[in-house]
This record gives sequence, C-alpha cells and structure tokens, in this order.
Amino acid sequence: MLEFICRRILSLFPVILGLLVLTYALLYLAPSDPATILAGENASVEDIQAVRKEYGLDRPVYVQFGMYLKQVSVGNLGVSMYSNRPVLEDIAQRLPATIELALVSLVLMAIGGITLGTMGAVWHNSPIDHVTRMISVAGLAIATFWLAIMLQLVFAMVLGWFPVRGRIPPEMVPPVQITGLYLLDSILTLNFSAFRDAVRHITLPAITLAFGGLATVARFTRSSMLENLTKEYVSYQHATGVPFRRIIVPYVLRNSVITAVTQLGLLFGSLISGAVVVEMIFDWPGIGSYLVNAIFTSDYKVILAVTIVVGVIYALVNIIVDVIHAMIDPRLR
Amino acid sequence: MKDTLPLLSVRNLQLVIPTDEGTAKILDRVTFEVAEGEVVGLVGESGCGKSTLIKAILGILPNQAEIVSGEIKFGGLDLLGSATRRTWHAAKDIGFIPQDPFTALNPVFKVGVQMMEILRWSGLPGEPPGYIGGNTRQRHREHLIKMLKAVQIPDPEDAFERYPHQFSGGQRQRILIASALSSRPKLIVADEPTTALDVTTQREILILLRELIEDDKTSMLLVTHDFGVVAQMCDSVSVMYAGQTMENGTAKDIIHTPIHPYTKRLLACHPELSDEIVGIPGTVPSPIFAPPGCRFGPRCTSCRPACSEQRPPLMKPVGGQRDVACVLLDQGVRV
Ligand SMILES: Nc1ncnc2c1ncn2[C@@H]1O[C@H](COP(=O)(O)OP(=O)(O)OP(=O)(O)O)[C@@H](O)[C@H]1O
Ligand SMILES: [Mg+2]
Repeated sequence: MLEFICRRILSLFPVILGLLVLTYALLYLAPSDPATILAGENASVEDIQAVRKEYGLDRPVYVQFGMYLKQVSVGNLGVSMYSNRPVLEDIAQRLPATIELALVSLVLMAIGGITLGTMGAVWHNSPIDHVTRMISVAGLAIATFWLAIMLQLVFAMVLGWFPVRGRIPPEMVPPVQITGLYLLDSILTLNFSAFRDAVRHITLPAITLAFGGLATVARFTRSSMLENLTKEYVSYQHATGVPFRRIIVPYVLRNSVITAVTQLGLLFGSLISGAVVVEMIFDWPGIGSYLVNAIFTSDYKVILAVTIVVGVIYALVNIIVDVIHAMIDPRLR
Repeated sequence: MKDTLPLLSVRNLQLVIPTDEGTAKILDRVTFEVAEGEVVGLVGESGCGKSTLIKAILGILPNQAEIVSGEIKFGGLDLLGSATRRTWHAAKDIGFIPQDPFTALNPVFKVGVQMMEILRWSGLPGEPPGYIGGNTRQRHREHLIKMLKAVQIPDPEDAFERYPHQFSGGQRQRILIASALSSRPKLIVADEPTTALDVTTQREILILLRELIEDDKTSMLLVTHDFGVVAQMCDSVSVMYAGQTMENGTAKDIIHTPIHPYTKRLLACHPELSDEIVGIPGTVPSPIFAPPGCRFGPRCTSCRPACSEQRPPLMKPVGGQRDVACVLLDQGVRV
C-alpha cells in the first residue's frame, strides 16, 4: 500500500509539468498582453517596452518558460505583477477558505447523495424515490449561478436566515489561525460564536457548490444499489434470516458506495472549478476569486501558480480516492 | 410416511405469480413431508419450481407471489401464517445452504463477519436471535471457528479474517455449510448445494454434509436433479414435474421400483441407475401456459384422455409406503 502511494505521488510530477506547459501555451496564445496592462491605461509605447524589458517579457517564450520552471523547482512561485506580493503568500492566505468550502461541499455531497440514493433504491418507485429522481435531474439541469442567486434571494434576503456574502461578518476578528479553516479553528479555540457565524456564512455557498455533485452521487448510489439488491448474496442473507435493514446497512451499502466514491473523486475537480463561480457570487475570499482577478489583469504568475496548486490538490484527491477504494474493496488490494 | 408428526410438511401448496403474459402457476398442489432426522431429496428437471418451493419454506418469496391454497408446517408452526417473512422461531431452526458458493458471499466483507451476522440472527440454542450483548460475540466467534474446523477449513482462525475471493469454490461451500449448521438447526434446506462445483469436490462436500448432519440427527431437504446424489444421500424422495408432485417415496423404492412414468423416464436418464439410457423428449412447459390436468401428459407415453381433463390426485397404493399421482394407479387410498 505504501509503495502504491509513493508511486502515485511520483507520477504527480510529469502531470504537473504537462499542466504547466499547457497553461503557459494558452496564456502565451491569449490575445491579452500583460505588459500593456501593467503599464497602465495612458502609457506610451516606450513605457510598455520598458515594462516588457523589466519583467523579461521580451525574451523568447521558451527562455521565459525555462526561467519560470527553474523558479518553481525551488518552491518560488514568483511575485504577483499586480499586487507585488509573493504569490505563495497570497495563496497560503486564501487556500484554506477554498479548501474549507470544498470540504464542506464534499461532505454534503457524500452524505446527502448517498442517503438520497439509498432511500431511492430501498423504497424503489415510491414517493421518496420520485423526489430522489427529481433532485437528480434538477442537479444536472440547474446552473450554479442561478441556484446561488436564488438561494441568496430566498434564504438571505427574504427570510434572512443566512448572510448574503462573505466568510465571516466584516466587523468580526477571525478565529485564531491553526488550520486556516474557520469551522475547525473556532471549535479548537472554543470560540463558539465565531463557529456559529462561520456555519451561517458557509451554508449557502456550500449548498450551491454541492448541489450538482450531490445529484450525481445520488444517481450513482441509487442505480448501483438497485443492481446490488438483485445480487445472490442479498437473497442468501435474506434466506438465512438476516433482517432487511441489516442487509442494506452495512452490506449492500458498502458495495454500492464503491461507484459513489469514484464519482466523488471525479467531482472534486468540478468542485474546484465550481468554486470559481461560487466564490465570486458569495464574495468568498478563496483562490477561486483570486484566480478570476488574476485572469482579468493577465497576472500570469498567479494564474500559473493557482493551476499548479489546483492540479496538485486534484491529483492528491485521486490518490486518496484510490486508497479508500482499496479499503472498501479487498479485491483491489 | 411415518406415524409420528413430521418436522416439515407441505400440503397441497398452490402458488402463482402474476406476470405480463399471464398468471404463472408455478406450484400446483405440492405435497411432501420431511420426518425428524430424515434426508429428503426433492428431484425434478430445471424450471419445475424447486427453488420457488424452497423460497416459500424460507419465507423469502418475491412480493408478487401469491399462495392460492395449501399449507407449510414446520414443527407445528404455520410458516405461511407470517406472510412472507419467516418467524424468528423458524429462522433459528432452519439452516440454508445456497446453490452457488461463488456468489452467495458478499465480496467486500470478511468471511467471519458474514458468518457472525447469520449466527447473530439465528442464535445458538437457547439464545434469543439478534442479541449480541455480554460475551455473546466472543462465544459465537469461538463456536464458528470450531465449525470451520469441523468442515475442514485449514487454519480456521486465519480463515475467519479472510475475504471470500481468497477461498476456492469447494472451501466456500464448506464455509456456507458451517454457517448453516452453526445455530444447530433442526432442518437444513439445501438448494442444489454442489451443482456449481466439479465432480470430485461435489462428492467430498456431500460426504462431509452427510457426516455432519448424521452426528446431530439433523433433517435435510436436499434439492437436486441428480438421482446419483439421491442414491448417495437421501432416505426419501419427492419427485416434482412442472410444479406438480408426481411421486413421493423412500429412495430405495423410487429408484428400484418407480411407478410414475415421469419418475421412470427421469431415472432412465441416469446410466448408473438404469439399463436403458434415454432422454425425455420435449421440454418442461412454461408455468404460464401449463397444460391442464397432469402437466406431464403431453410428454407421457402412457397418457390417456382423462389425464388432460383432471389431474390424478396423489394416492397411496394399497399397503404401499409412497404417494403417486397417476391414472396408472387406479386402486389406492387418497392422500
Ligand atoms: N418471480 C418470478 N416471476 C415469474 N416467474 C417466475 C418467477 N420466479 C420463478 N419463476 C418461474 O417459475 C418456474 C420455476 O422456477 P424455479 O427457479 O423455482 O425452478 P427450479 O426447479 O429451481 O429450476 P433450476 O433447477 O433451474 O434451479 C420457472 O419457470 C420460472 O421461470
Ligand atoms: Mg433452482
């Protein structure tokens, strides 16, 4: 198992390199010119040339890329051309917000999706099943931004149950930083009022982000469970007198979540890209909104750095998924 | 067959399942008994309703199945009274061995965990089913490891912690046998327990099974379509065709002096038990379009016009030890 994990982590490097080449090429081909933007609106042609020289943007693209790679290999992600702050610092500050949002969404997706899917399969063709199917279709059909705005409208503006935006009230001091995840830090420091506020703030963005994936997980769990319920080992346990609810949990459930776990791994990718939209709408201070700003300002160091970070996270999640798989299904060991 | 009250008795069981094409009359007045300590073979071609009958006994019929008439009694307890779910009492006293050891075990759970689950809901003698408080788990574990030893699984402690795919088919069937016997049931129901295995393993498993149930005087209902297995294992036989009981009797009588034409034809398919080897022309009719009267009629060489009008009732020949449902037997006592 350990060897397997090491091998997977080593295979990460070529993936990241490929990712960088691709992103770099796309940025290079994009019509926007960072030097023009940096020089400001009223800059003369000479000014722009000077900026270009200062940032090394006049060199051939492969030299630029080589220099960048050299930097990255020693852990230096460069300086934001826009804010002049080290990119690594910005990311370290913003990443926990995104990770917190993604983790809460992932948990909602897993628990909500697996529960819904299981109920749909156990009470096949009953009203509960129809609700499950409706949610599945809705999850595929509803656009993230529309759901976000609707939730804001109903639950924040009309009902006032949750705040419209932000991660914590502006006047509030964030909990002492331990992990950077407010929910966890506030509990660890026994700061319960901060915890309550953090929960209230994360609820709507997390639901928005989780909804599509939740529907997918529910659909996969439901169909996998329906299939597993026809398996011989179910009728065998039934025949020996094991009660139905015990057959479902844990026996059939464990077989059925294998596909759901695969889906969760794949969905984590769309979760990060979904975070870009959700963070913009809910003003969530994570790397999604950071990335969008960087794209608007052609801040290519930031774009590349975020690409690396997201790529690494995605690959790590997939390693974790494989490990969980092997834990659930002994035949894979 | 015997004077004492039978352990299991199935009388005139009629079962239908509605389908899109029409009502499938799967069981038509099935009747037989299993006495205490007796091994009864249930014989019949594929598709004649043996597994459905087993499901009725175990109380796991599909929801659409409907019992039209008849009864199943187990030790005086009415098994059909509790709808489709078997009562705790019956679960405890009826052990089940499935047909296919390759698919009966859940692939993602340890063998020990699955055996513990089954024993939990049957309980050892004197224990309430479902109870796992106190040191029950420990006791069950020790008992099951002893059972694994009894069915000759090497290194049973270790086997307990392994997964199904780490055992061969024969070993898995041994595990399932250990599981079925673990709660010391009065009756073992086995649905073709060796058809999925190769011939040598088949023989070994049957010998083992026979030894184990003889020790405890456990009764067994053994489903098979193989008269060789009957000869090796059974005291009595019930022959079924297309959901109808054709002939019941002791294994010796049925094999050596069959009366019903279907039994004769079935025996004729076995070279080691018969001089002439012939198959039976035709196939088992679908239970949806079953012929009226005796369902074997269309394939029977002794068929008379009366056979297709009304099914001959099960009769005991005068002074005989068996039941036969055939017009050839015109003298006898109605069962
Ligand atoms: N749920 C069901 N709905 C409709 N028909 C069914 C159903 N279950 C079984 N049958 C039919 O009932 C008949 C008896 O099936 P069963 O499985 O009991 O036969 P069997 O004697 O066990 O056969 P085999 O030796 O192949 O195991 C078959 O014709 C089958 O098609
Ligand atoms: Mg069968």
